[in-house]
Amino acid sequence: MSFSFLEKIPVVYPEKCIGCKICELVCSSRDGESYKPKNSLIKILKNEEFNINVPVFSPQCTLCMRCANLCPTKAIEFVEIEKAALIRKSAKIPAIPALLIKA
Amino acid sequence: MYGWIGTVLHIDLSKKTIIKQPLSNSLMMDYVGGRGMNARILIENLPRGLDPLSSDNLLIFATGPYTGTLVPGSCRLTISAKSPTTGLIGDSNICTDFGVELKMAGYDAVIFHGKADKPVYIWIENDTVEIRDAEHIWGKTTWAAQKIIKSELGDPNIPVLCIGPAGENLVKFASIIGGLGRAAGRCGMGTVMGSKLLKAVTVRGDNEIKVAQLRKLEELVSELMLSLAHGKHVMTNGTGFASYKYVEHVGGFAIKNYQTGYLPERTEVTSPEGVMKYVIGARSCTSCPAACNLYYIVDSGPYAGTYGDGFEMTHLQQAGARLGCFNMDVVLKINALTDQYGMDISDFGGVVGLVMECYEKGILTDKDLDGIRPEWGNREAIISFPEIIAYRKGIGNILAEGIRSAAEKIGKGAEKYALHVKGIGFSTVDPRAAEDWGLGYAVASRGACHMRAAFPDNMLYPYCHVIEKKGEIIATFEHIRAFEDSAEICKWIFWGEANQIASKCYRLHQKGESWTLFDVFKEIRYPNVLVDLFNYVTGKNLTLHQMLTIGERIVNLERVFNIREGLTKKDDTLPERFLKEPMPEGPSKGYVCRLTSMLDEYYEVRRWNKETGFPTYAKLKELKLDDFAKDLPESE
Repeated sequence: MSFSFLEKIPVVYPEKCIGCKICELVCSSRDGESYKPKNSLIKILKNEEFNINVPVFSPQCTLCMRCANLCPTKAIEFVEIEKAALIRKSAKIPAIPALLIKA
Repeated sequence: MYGWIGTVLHIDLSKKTIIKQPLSNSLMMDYVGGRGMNARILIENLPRGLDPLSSDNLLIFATGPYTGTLVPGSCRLTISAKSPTTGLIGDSNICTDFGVELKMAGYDAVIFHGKADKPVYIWIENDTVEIRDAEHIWGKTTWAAQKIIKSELGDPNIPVLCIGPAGENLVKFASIIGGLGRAAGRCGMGTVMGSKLLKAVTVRGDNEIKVAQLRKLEELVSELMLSLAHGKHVMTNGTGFASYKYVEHVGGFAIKNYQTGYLPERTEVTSPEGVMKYVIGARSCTSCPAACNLYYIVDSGPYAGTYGDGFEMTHLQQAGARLGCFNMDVVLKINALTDQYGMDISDFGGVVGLVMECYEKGILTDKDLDGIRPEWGNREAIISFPEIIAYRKGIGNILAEGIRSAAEKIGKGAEKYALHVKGIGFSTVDPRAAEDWGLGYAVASRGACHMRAAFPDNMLYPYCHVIEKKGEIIATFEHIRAFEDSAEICKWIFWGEANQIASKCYRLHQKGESWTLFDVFKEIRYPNVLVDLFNYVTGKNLTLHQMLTIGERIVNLERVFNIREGLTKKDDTLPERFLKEPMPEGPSKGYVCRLTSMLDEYYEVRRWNKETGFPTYAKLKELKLDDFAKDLPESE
């Protein structure tokens, strides 16, 4: 089994994400037969009231990158760990109305 | 089974019973799903002349085979019932995750029978279906009701469809709302829901949707994504961005209750910059790359802190220009209020436009209006209407009866200013500026609907004033749109391709040689792409011809339903304003809608009797609808 996130990790751009969940559908159809969003290894956390969409990943992500390939706004990319560190260095995370979760 | 789930859920609110039944093969193959399937179920189950607010009316929420798959723009649902607004077939299409979840829960459709004895909401979680008490949320706005239900279920992202005070108070154009501003607005589906004391429906599903050729579907969608991504066409031709084009290209914006379609100068409401000042993002529903849903926040003035989504060109007209109002903050405040109270923005614009014109003409005076002064553009007056309509206060009680009935009640010639077809008001372009859209409005089975045909020449000047061959084109587009409403795909997603069809038709028209729409379809991906998507999803071998036949069957079945309820050829018409008052200014100055000759061609293409407007027996037989011929007053 290959382990994820040792060399590459996903970087997400919430400002670009339109919340379409195409990534969830694509990821959930890994078996090539059906769509089952519950099994998706990527999820969009949303606050619909204030229009905030943040893609989040499971560590079981296989880095197949089909989500990034089909993302209509290029809100997901997979980059080397060092590049991710540089992106984080320049990124500011602003105050936002809180995301809600199912506890 | 691929595409469909194969199960329909029946919930009887009177008997409190829950039954699951298989979806019949003929409904799938002859009607596909959504709008088509619903029409068939309604005609078979509703007796002629049924009161739409009686407990015997059915309320159907149905998905299609595309719903919940990777097909772009497929997260749609059609809600149908006999309409309390028109007394005819009623349906309203909404984009919402509800349909996706419903299929994941294991159902293609849910049908509500009967009437609850006290307010309830429905909670569907896979196999488990609960009828829950809703007395504590009855009276709440749609936004508050959703928050309470999500909090009760501990799930912030569960899709809820609900009604607001307008639906509870049986306002005849009440909508069903999901999220902030996704609405099943037309035909009073929220009114039917209110009559059943059904406040909300919510669903969570953890199962799967199988498709026949998943990888091929993914390849096709990946290829389409380049042209569809971020709604290139939607953003230039639809939603909130194209109002200035309606004003400047065709002169067909609904200004002052459609007194004119033209403004010499740009305003906030009719310029992209004016609109964009308030928009902080465009978002999508599930599986849609177009992101047409504009999210707005008003950050200054008396309505600072107002937010919402789902505002479109319809709002710019119906909550703005039609009322003589060109301030975006008022338009957005009305957008938020009508979504919270749960009422259709188009019929809202229709009844308020009626009041304002009646006030201008002296038909309504201050003594009729409890202190409201409905002068064109008066923001205090405009802002007061959602509440008085939703709670039926004062003149609001008359307006809540819908545009046709309101005008009858006001009397003194008010009917002339009640702009509607079959009891449903207009949403968008003035038919004097896009004449074949006038034909589309006149014949649409649910009343003045711009999306039943939606042939995209509405901004293609001067082709929008060519009436030759438009009967055939509108009929064919009605078939395509009926299929789209049944397989469940957004009509905007391939708008760019449909635009190419309109441009090609115009070029062929200019050449003056003989041509058919099928020649055009050979050269453009749309509508053929709908067939490819259908076959990849379902594993069937549908052809373009068969797809159009399904659409034609649906249009004819709806026609039979309406004729059974008393519709005649006289109802296929437009308000006098569009037929007799020439457009006073702008690019379409001097035009009226030349409906009669288009209508004759339309009946001929349809093989409907030109004298009565009824489908001929031969046509019904060809479409496997001959069983219904006996329902027509004069079957041949």
